[in-house]
Amino acid sequence: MHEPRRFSGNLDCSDPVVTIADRWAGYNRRPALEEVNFCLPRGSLVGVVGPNGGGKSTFLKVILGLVSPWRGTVSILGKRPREGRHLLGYVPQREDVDWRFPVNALDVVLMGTYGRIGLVRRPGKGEAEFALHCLARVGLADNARRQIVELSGGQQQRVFIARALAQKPQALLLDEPVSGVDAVSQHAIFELLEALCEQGVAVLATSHDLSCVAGRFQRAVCLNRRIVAYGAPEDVFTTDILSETYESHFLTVKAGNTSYVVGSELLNR
Amino acid sequence: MSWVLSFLTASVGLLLEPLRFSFMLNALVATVLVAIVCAVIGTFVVLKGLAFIGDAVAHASFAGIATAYLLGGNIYLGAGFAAVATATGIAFLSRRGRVSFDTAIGVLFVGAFSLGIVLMSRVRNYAVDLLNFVFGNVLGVGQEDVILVGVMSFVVLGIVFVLYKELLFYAFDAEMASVVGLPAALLHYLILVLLAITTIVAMKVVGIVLVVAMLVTPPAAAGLLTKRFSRMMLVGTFFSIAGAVIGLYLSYYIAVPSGAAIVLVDTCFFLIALALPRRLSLGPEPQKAAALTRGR
Repeated sequence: MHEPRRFSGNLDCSDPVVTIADRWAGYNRRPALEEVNFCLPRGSLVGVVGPNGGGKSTFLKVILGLVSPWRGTVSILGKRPREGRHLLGYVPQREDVDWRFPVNALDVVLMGTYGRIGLVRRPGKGEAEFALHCLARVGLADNARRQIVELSGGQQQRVFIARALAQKPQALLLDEPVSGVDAVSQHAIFELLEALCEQGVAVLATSHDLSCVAGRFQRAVCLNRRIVAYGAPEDVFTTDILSETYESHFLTVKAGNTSYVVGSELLNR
Repeated sequence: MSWVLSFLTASVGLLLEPLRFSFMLNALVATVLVAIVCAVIGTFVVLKGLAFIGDAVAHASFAGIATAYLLGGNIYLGAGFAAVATATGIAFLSRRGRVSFDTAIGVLFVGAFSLGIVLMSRVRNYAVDLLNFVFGNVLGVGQEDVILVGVMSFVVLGIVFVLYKELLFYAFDAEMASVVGLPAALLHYLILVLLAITTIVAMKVVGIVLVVAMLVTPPAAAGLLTKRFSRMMLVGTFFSIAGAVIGLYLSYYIAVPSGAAIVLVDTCFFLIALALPRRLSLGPEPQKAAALTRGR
């Protein structure tokens, strides 16, 4: 009798933008990610869920080449992260941004074009117009000249999405894009992400909100250092998988096409 | 009408009078150059929270000065070497993140400063020279110092001008700068090396202890009044030049140390900017600012 090999993600998907094979990474000799296998298909909307400290942010940073890996490979359209990552838009966690920095919305979006312009050269009229166009796409054309600290949480998040758009990305990576954002902005952000998917941009977002992922995303990654499950939310948000992911008890309730998740972390503590 | 004219002649006379002396002319040129460079680099220092490093680099460079003094070498070269070494050392430690950042700086800079004092105590004019370097002596600035300060200022400002967009992006969001394809590691070291050169340039004028105030105070005052990076840099430079000129004249007419006078004028600018009604000072609203500090 042989032990069934434990699940560690899968690599088979058609037309992948990002592929990760057997990736390990960590900080100070403690692993944050183990044996991660993953692929992100073009035009898909994928949510990453898992407990705090389960490696959600590290997962994104490994793809972006911001965390040096222990082993394994990441490929972005066949290129290594350092060569391919300019094809990835990134929206960092709100807490990682210095909102008091004296820049306005347009300045931030313009930064998305810097990689294309090359060293030393200054952004010109063309870049400014394109940046304004990106701001208009997220519905913030009228706020171009406002300092980022004056914007609401949802607007700030959309400015960063506009900056990612200014990179003309193949994939968009967002770290907790809707946490601390009001319901109206949340809806606007998802409409935007869905529109991007339809245009062929792959979207990968972390979230701590399971019902949001269940309702809005096509696929979900359950991550707790390793990938516990990867598939359609209705398939992977089962009591067993979620309990394994969160190392605690979960109840899932299905009503029509929507699954609702009831967490009871207290039971286990 | 005549009293207006005589008032004007008198004030012009007061302004020109000190410049009869070549040492005052040298001092004025050197101080204004230093003021400009400090404000430009200081804008990055304020926004990136590098004040403590700036202080450390200035203090640590004292070890280099003392060594150059003992060996009879060029003082600027010694100071520059020590400053750049400290700055890159701190940059290296901070990228590795093995020791707490503040602790590493604290250990390094007081250690190097003490080494400087010990070495300096072996020199004959110990007390006088020590004071000159610690508190600055702008009146001792000679022709060749002015040329050196001019060249170094030109180099620092030139680099900031050429790499303005990269430095701005790096200062705002280092991770994203590297994702987009900018050489983030290089920019990290570059900012600290520019900071090191700036402190050396400023040292002769304001001294090791006061350098940090020239770096931080004018841009901080400007930051309270402006919304955009470029404007913060420009307004900060204006404050810095005004503070330098006013401070220098004060030191001439009421016979006080020039470095301290300049820093005090800068401090007044800062306090005035702070006291302006919030409507004018376009900074974040208090409630929002509190939320931000909680988040960080």
